[in-house]
Amino acid sequence: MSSMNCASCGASLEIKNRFSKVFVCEYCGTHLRVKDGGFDITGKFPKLADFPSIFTVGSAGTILGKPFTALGRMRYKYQGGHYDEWFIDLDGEKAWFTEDEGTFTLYTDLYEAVDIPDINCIKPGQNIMVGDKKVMVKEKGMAVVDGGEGELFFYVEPGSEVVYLDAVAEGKKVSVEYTESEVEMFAGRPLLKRDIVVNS
Amino acid sequence: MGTGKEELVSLKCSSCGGGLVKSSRTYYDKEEEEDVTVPLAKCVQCGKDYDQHTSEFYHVFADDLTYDKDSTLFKLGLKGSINNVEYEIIGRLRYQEEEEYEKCTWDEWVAISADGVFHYFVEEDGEIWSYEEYIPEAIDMESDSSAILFEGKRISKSSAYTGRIVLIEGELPWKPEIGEPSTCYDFKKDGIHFTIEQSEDEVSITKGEKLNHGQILSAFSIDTYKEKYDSTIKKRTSYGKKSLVYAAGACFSLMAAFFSCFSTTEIKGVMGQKKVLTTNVPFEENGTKAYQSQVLWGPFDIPEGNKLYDVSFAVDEKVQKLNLEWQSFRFMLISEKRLLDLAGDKVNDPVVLNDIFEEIDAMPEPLESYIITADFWDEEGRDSDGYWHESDKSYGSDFVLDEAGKYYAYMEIFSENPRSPDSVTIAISRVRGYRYYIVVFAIFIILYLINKSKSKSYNELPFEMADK
Repeated sequence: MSSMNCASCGASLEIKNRFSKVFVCEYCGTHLRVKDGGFDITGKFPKLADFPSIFTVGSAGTILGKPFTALGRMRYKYQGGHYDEWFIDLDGEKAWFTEDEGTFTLYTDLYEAVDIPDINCIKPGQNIMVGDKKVMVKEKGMAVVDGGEGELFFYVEPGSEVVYLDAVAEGKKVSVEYTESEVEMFAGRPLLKRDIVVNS
Repeated sequence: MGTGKEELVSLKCSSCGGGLVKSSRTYYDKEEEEDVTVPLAKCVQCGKDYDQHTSEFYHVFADDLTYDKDSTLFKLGLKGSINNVEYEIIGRLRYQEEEEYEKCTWDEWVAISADGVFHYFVEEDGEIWSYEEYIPEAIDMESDSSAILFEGKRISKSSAYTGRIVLIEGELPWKPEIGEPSTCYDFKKDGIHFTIEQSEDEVSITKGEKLNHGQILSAFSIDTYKEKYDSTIKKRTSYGKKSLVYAAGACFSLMAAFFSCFSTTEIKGVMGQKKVLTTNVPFEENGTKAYQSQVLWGPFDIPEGNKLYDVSFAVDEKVQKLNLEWQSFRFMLISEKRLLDLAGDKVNDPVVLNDIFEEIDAMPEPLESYIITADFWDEEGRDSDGYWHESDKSYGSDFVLDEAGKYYAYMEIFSENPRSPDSVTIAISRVRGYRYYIVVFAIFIILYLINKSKSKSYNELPFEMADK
């Protein structure tokens, strides 16, 4: 763990994960992108509303028996609700944990910059090839980035639109997110609440 | 997530904005061969019809499909625990099968578990199914136009049915709409029940397990129906046991009837005293020439009255073959006393016997004699299948003989060609009363069916329930 200061308010920031690309200052809410060994201010956004969540930034415990630490989260709003995508350190590896309407999914496999067909042509029930993986699309939707907190592995500016696909392949849940700049695919599994132990 | 109880939105005609009302259409159904009237939603302004394949139809007819929405086992807000996992019922969707004009609905109750998983309880046709999300190892809904490939199993797309939402209640993790269609595939794989639901926005794959109402009443502590449920189950069990008793009775009576068919006792001496009164006397009727013979058997003793007897007739082809010709007969069984009363000392007079036969045959019932007529024939011909050759050379009939005693059997034999009167044989046998057993069997079967049906349908509860 190392420490740096917020480029906007000077508050001290603890950096817990070497993969983190963006930090959100918990004092002033400024989003700081890692650049050339320092921070680049990308903007200042309101703090996330305090909806109840299983984690807070810094929560630690075990998931499926493996130790984890919650580093940060992005929140997405969609028609009629929102979901949180937590960035976690899972036994030394980076992982993503989504909390959507009380349901939990752990994504451990990331496929970056994947090449997939035009999002507008994709419908639920359709097969798409993502890299060498054939996945079946279960759901297609649109969300807006509401904000973030803590350390983030990737960054999309609040207010940006994200098209997402929920899919299945090889017994795993697959989530594909389209932003203006990139397409990323995560593969993982649903979790039961009992699979997650948060230290008090 | 939905915002709670959804109010029905009054839909307007998509063509002119006019209001929609319930209507119907009558057409001639070629298969049923009758006029059939089906419901339709209709625009009051431009007259446009909306059938059951449109969302508008379900907005208009929703009240007809949801009038019994409170007659369900589950209720919103119910909390309970199954297999140590807590569930809370948070929402409900009611679907109507699109192809049915009559009400054919099922309720999908959405529950959230303490494990953070959405769960679905389905109430349909008195059964309860519990569904949870399933992530298959392999699924392909697209490559084969006629089937879904699901973990090595082929599910025909023709097995699909469409459900339309007609009721939305509570909080749901998505925003459904009245009339929204969902294509469903129900199938079993390795003994597990799966459902795939495909809508415009989503494909959902769930695996299901059948639960009984007792489990749910206990799991969700629904005390309101506990007493009625117990009473219903008790009565159903009682009807079930009765049905088994009646089934056993039916089997026994069927076996008894079967046994009776094969346990006959021949009356001896029927053929013993035989007098051929006339042989092949030619006569003409309606321009057709034929021959008549008269034979009298008896007297012989029939020892038991008020019993069932079988009399059988046959052509004895050892005496003379019946070859491409016909032969018919009139037979009368008459008590010795009656014959002697009528014929006096002319018992062997063929003319007198013929007159007696005519007289008795013309009498209104009861005849106090037993008259039987039948034909034997042997024919051949050709049709589209080629050559055929058919014959009927025996006949049998049952009767209940009222009184025991001595009897005569008198027969008039008519034939196309001259035939030996000895070529027709008769036999009288005492048979067990299989008809009675058949009647008893029928009664048992009716009782069995009534009780079996009640063991499934008896219900004190305000909703359908299929538990045994």
